[in-house]
Amino acid sequence: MSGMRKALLVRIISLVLVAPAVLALMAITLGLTGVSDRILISMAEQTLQEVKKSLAIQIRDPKALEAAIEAQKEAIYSSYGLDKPWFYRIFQMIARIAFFDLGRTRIIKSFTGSHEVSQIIVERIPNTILLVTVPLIFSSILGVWIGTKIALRTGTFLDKFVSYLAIISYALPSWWVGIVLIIFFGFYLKLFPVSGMYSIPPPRDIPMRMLDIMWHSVLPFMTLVIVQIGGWIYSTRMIILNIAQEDYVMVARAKGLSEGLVRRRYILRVAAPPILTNIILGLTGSLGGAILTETVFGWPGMGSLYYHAIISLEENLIIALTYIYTLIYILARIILEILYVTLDPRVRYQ
Amino acid sequence: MNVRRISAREFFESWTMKVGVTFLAILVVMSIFVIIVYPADFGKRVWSNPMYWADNPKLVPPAWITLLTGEKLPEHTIFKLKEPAEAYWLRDAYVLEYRVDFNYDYDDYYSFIHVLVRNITFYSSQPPRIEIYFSRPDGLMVKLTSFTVRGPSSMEEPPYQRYVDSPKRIILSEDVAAMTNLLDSLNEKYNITLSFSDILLIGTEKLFFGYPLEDRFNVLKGRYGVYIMAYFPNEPGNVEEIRLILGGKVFGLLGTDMLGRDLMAGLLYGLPVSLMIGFLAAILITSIGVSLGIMSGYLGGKVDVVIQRSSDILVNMPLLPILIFFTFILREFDARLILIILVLTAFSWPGLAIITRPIVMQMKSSQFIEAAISCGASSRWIMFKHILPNLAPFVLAQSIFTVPSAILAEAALSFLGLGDPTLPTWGQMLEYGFRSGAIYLGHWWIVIPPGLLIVLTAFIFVLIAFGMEPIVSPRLKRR
Repeated sequence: MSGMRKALLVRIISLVLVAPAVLALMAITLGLTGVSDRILISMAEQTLQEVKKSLAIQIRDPKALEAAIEAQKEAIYSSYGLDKPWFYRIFQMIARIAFFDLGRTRIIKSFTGSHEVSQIIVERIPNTILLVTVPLIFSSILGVWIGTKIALRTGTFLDKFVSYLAIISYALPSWWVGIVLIIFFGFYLKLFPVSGMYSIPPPRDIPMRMLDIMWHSVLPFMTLVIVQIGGWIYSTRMIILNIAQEDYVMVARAKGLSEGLVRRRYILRVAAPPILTNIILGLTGSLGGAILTETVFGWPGMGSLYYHAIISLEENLIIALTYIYTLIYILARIILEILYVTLDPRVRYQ
Repeated sequence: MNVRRISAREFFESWTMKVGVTFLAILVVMSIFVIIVYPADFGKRVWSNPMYWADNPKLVPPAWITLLTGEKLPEHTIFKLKEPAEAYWLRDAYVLEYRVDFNYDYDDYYSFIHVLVRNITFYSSQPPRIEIYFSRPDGLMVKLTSFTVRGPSSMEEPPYQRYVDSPKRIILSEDVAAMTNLLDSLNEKYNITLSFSDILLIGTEKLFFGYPLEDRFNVLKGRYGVYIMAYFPNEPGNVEEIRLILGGKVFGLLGTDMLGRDLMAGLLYGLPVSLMIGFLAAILITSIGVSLGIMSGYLGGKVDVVIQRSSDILVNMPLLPILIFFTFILREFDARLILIILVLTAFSWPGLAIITRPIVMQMKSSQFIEAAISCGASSRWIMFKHILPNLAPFVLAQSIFTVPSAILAEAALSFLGLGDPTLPTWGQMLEYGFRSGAIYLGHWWIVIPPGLLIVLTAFIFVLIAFGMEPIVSPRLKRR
C-alpha cells in the first residue's frame, strides 16, 4: 500500500502545484499590463463612493467635505496598495484571484441579479460540470467498447471504416459540429431546441423540468460525443493492437488457452491502464471543447460566460474563470489519477 | 520507440500519406496564388470596408443552389458601359445615350438596382444632367429619375470633373422619384390604386420586375431595357464609365454575408493565414520542445529537473482557458495573430519535451554516442549532430500533429471573439456568422464553408501524421 500511496502523492503534489503556478503567471501578467491597477482602482472607487455618501450626511460645509473626501481617498487607495508599484502587491493580487475577491462586474449579472464575480460563477459551475461529464462518460465508454471490438477484428471492412471515421472526428472542432447540428436539427428539422438549458418559462414540476433539461441537452451532448468518440476509438484500437503483439500474448496462445481467455486476461486487462491514461489526457480537450459548445448552444455554464465576458470586456470575470477552470481541471485530474492507481496492479503492488 | 532513418519510398507507402501530401500540395499552391494576387492590406482595406461591398447583394446563397432547388433565382449581374450607344446633338445639348437590354427569365425579383456613374467631365459652366429611363416587356416606358451634376464653383477652371474618387451611386430601388414615377405608370396601366406605403410593404423591387395580378405581384418575364442619358449643355463632355448593377438573389460560388462581402474572397484569403499559423506554431513548438527534451534527457542533473518540473506543470494547465486569458489580457498588443502563436507555443512545447526525453536517455547509452564521446565531441555537438538527426522522423511525426491543433486553437479563439481583426481568418468569419444569428435563420453558406475548410485543413495534417505512424513505430506494420 505504501508504494501506491507514494506514487499517488507525487502525482497529486505535482498537480496541486499547477494552481499556484497559474495564479503567479496570471498575477505577473496582470501587473505588467497594468490590468491589476485598473481592477483595484475600480474597487477603490466603489468603496470611495460609499464613503462619500456617508460623509455627505455628516459634513455640511462643502470645503470641509472636499478635504475629508480627499483624505479618505488617499487612505482607501493606500489600503488597496495603489500607492506602490504592482510588484509590491503581487501576493495580494494572488490572494484576490484565489478567493475570487475581484470586485463587481459592470454589465454581466448572475441569474439572481448579483454583480459579484464569485456569485456569477458559482451558480454556473453545476451546469458546466453536467455538460462536461455526461458526454465524456458516454463517449469514453462507447469509444472504448467500439475500439476494443474493432481492434480484435483488424483488417476487416468495419475496422477500416470505423478507423477512418475516427481520424475524421479527430479534426472536428466541437463548435462547428454544434453549428451544423443546430442548422440541421434545429433550423431544418425543428426537432430540438437550439439554445439554452430550459424552456422559457421552465416547467413548474420537477419531473417535467428534468425532461425539459434532457430535451435541451440532446444537441450539445451529441456534439461533444461526436467530437470525442473518434479519439477514444482510435487510441483504444492502437493500444490493444500494440499489446496483442506482445510476446506473452503469443505464448498464451501457444499454451492453448482459449481466445476469449487470452483476450480478457492477457490483452484487455493490460490495456485498461493506458486507455485510462488516454481518457485522463483527453480531459483537457473536452473541457476546452465544452467552453465552445456552451457558447454555441447558449448553455448557461462557465464556457458561455467566457464568451459574454470577452464581448463585454469584463476583465475580472475572465481572470476568475481561468482560475476556476484550472481548479476544476486539477480536481478532475486528481480523481482520475486515484482511479488509475486503483486500476493498475503494477502501481498498486509495488 | 524504434527510431531510424527512412527512405522516400517508405515515406509515401501508406495511402493516407499520399492523399495527405497531395492535398497539402494543392493548398500550398493555392496559398501562393492568394499571396501573389491579394493586396497585403486586404483585411483592413477590403474585407472590413463596407463601401467596398456596397454593390453586392446582402445575405444571399451561392449561385449553384439553383441547381438543387430547381427554382430560377436571379444571379448578380453587372453591366459595365465604357462607350455610349449613341452620341448626338439635341438642340443645344450634347447627349450621350447608354443602353442596356436584358432578358428576364427568373422566378424571383432582383434584390436591388444600382446605377453607378464614374468620372464625368464637362467644360461648360452649365453642369450636365443625367436621366434614367426604364422599359418593360408590357410596353411601359418610364422616366425613372434624373439629377443634375454639381456645377462648377467660381474657383474652378474647366475641365470640370466629378465622381472621380468614388462613383455617384443611384439606388433606383430606393429612389423616391423612381418609385413614384413607376407607381403612377403601373396604376394607370393595370388600373389599380397602389399607394406609396403599400409598395414599401410589398417590396420596392417588385415594382420594377413585377405586375399586379389578383391582389399580388407576379414576375413579369421578357425583355427589359435601362436607358441612361447624359445631357451636356453647350459643349460636349464625357463619362468614363457607367455601371448598371442588378442585385442577385444568389451570388458567386459561396454567397455573401450581411455586409454583402463575397465569402469566396474571404475564405481564399484565410487559407495562407491558416497555413502560416499552423506551420509557424509547429516550427516553434517543435524546436523548443525537442531542444529542451534533448537537453533534459542528455544533460540530466539540475537541467533535467528544472525542465521536467516546469513542463510537468505547464502540460497540466488547461490550454484553452489559459489561451483565452492571455490573448484577452494582451489584446492591445498590435500583431494579435503572432501573440496567439507565441502563447500557444509557450504552453504547448512541454508535451514534446516530455516524450522526447526517454528516447534521448535510451540513445545516450548507445554505442555510437559513446564513440562520439570518446572522440572528444562536446555535449552540444552530440546533442545536435548525433541525437537530433536520429530523432528526426519521430520529431517530424509529432510536429505534424501540432499543425492541426494550432489551426484549431486559433479558430477557437477567433470564434470566441479574440481573433486578429486586421487579418480575416476562417474562425473569425464563423464568429461573425454566428454572432449575427446566421445559424438560427438557416444561413448555412456563411458558417458551413469556413468550418469545412478548417476541418479539411486540419484533417490533411492529421492524415499525414497518421500516415507517418507506421514509419515511426514499425511494429504496427506487421498487422
